[in-house]
Amino acid sequence: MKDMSEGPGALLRARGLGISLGGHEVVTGLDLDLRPGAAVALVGPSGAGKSAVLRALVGLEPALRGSLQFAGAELVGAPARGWQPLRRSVQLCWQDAGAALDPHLTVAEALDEARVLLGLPRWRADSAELGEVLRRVALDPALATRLPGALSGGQRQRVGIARALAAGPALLLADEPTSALDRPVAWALVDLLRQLRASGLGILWVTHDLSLLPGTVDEVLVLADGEVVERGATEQVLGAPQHPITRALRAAVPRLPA
Amino acid sequence: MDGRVCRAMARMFQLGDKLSTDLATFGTRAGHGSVTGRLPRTVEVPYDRGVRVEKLGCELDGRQLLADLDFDVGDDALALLGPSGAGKSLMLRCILGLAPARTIVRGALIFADGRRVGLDDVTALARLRGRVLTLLPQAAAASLDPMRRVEAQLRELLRMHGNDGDSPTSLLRLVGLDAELALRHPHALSGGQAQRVALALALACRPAVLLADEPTASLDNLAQAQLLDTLRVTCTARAIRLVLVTHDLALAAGVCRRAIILDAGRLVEAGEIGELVDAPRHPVTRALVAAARRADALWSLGVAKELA
Repeated sequence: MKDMSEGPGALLRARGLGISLGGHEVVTGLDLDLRPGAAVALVGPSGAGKSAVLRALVGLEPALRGSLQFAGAELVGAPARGWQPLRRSVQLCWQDAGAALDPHLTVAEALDEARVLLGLPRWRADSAELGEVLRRVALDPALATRLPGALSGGQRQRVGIARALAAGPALLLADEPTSALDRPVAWALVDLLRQLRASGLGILWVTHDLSLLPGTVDEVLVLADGEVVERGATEQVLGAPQHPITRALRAAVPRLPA
Repeated sequence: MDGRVCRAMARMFQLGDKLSTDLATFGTRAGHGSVTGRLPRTVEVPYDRGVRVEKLGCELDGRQLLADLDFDVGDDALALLGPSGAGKSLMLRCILGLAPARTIVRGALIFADGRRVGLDDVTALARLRGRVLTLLPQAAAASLDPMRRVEAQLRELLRMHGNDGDSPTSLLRLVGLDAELALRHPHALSGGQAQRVALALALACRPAVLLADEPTASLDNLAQAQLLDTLRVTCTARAIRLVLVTHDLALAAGVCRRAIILDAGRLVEAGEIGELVDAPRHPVTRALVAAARRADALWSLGVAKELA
């Protein structure tokens, strides 16, 4: 496997990125390259700073240090409008899709709202594009008129991804999308992420469950206390973990008796 | 305390459809009301460990939500498995006498000493709750009293249950926490710490049967492995019969020897986990086994040295 952290073509590139929250630097010296069609996993225990990284990458954490480039343009220190090209191309899917969806908006309205906010043409509930996006996340287009309360947890998580896809992004950042789901449903979502990657979407997937990663991501970064302690190709990091944190995360995966 | 009072309290505290330690352990937040004041002060002997659930059924507006659930909580830890919406949490609520409003619950609990308690007898179930049967809730952090230190919450339960054998410090140590945490308020605890405090609260009640409702669902894998380990060790050491609700078969296999599988409110399969894994019969069991087996891809990568 080629080293995914080098070479040209990274759409989003962080170099020595530091993120401060309330005066404390919670993430330091992060190097990260995201490109369309490739998937990277950011793993680590609770409190490692995983979600802070995701928030920083979409401009929700103002206190940044180092370098963050989108399509070659520097964003650290740039004015707010400098982030605009990124807003549409990089979409975030929140951990708790149930809470992230407005309970008063139907699936169609939620997707439409995402487009309106980005200044894109609106989608009606019966539009072909809307049906196509819902089919892409394996949801029945007939669900377009449902409210979030009438959907299962797995369906809501898919709506969260569909809403991100409605913006037509090149990169999808997903914050533990499987953590609230049954194992069988979680695997169905993993299959969906694999398909999206195969169709050209770039993915950064935050998780603490290493068992979902083989065959799903190309590169794994292990974050502990705000620093990357181990990184490399998936087979290498998960197959022969070097750092104690990576080993502990691997050993903590529940395993069926042989 | 009868069911109506419980439900009124649940609404008052906006507990939603999830249970709280307070209600299940006669705990802290209810302490200022008249409800706990009416509890008998004498401590009853847990009816000699294990319990059998007989013909549990639950009906709402003519719809059968749970039907004909028969199983034994014996000496081994029992896993209760099933997909989301199968009725796992509802079943626990029925057993604890905390079924939602307007439901009709049928069936009975048969204790090891032969004592029989009808599941429609919410008064009798309220007497068992926290004494014989105790809940370890899914979201512990939400069930702790935010205004009081951990120590005060533990001390209250110890006193209420006449538990002289334990102290707040000894319980915290037992669940693997630093005794210094006793002085903290819940907001200063991490998710894993809060879950351990909830376990300490449950142990303060000295229950015969501990009902753990997905106790690790909100934890990362490291904290999950640690909590399960503590749960297994303490339940064995104190002869507490454990019922572990989960939807992860591999996780269940690490803690329990037997499992029952629930789907759409019916018991679809039961047996030793090893046998269920080798020869699952029902489609739901097969899906659980398949999902757990897919994780094996992780172990076939490379030849990593396992962490001891």
